Amino acid sequence: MRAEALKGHLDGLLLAALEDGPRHGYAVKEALRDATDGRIDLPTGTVYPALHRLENAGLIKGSWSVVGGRRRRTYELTEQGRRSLAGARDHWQEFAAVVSAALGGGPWPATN
Amino acid sequence: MAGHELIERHLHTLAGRLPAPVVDELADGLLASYDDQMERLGDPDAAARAALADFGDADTVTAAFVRTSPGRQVAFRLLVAGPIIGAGWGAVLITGDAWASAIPLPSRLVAGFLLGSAVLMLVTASRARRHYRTVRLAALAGTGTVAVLDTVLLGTVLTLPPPPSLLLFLALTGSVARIMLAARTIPELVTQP
Repeated sequence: MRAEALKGHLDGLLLAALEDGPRHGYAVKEALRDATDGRIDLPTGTVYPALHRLENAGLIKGSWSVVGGRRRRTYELTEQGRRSLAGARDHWQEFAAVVSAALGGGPWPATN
Repeated sequence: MAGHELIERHLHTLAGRLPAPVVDELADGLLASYDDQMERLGDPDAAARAALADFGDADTVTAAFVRTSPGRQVAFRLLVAGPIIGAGWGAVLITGDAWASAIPLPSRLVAGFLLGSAVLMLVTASRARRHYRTVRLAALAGTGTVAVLDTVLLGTVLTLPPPPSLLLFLALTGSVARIMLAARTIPELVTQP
């Protein structure tokens, strides 16, 4: 999937990748890739600036540790981040439903 | 620190542009990616190339950090607000000509020089793409100078009160807002890498 298609949704995706617990930057990227069967595979180096932005906004909190002799920064959601994630989910549901209706592809999500 | 010469070189380039803690964090991610690629490919050279391709080039990564830096953001805010507040003070000076002329010429020249320097610093902070430290230092210098100028303006108004007017009130409000923004941002720029 092209990076431009993720514009406006990257924050929500990164927050969702941290929902199950603390992760470091590379693990966040891997979690996102695994959750989407490889369809969203962000360049590793661009995940970190986005995480810093989320931290500056108070949505995630970082802490340092040393793993295998390397300094590692691990991130976890804050309460504000959890609220933001819930908001992003609601917004996405509404957006997807509207666009699906407009494109004429039937209701979204698909129900059997 | 690095697992391969190519990775070491990439990290060295990043270390020349980004703060040390950020480079430590990026090194951890790049090396974790290299370890994964080693498991997958088994060849150090191929693994390093694959990890670097997945990581992104130094220019892209640096530019992404610079875009989100607090220095860049405060520089943009001050550059947007500057002409509006400056126009307010300009109008006060023009309409209160007698008041303006009471301010000694050397003081006005120094203020003009400081204002020019501040604008130059803020433009530098808002335009630099590859050097995070340049953005941070330029934003710090620009914001600090603007705060000093606004404080001097407020001090001048208190010691040499001009004729009260709506323009003066608006200009004062703008200056106070800028001082508050600087007071909030400068500690962040000093303490954050």
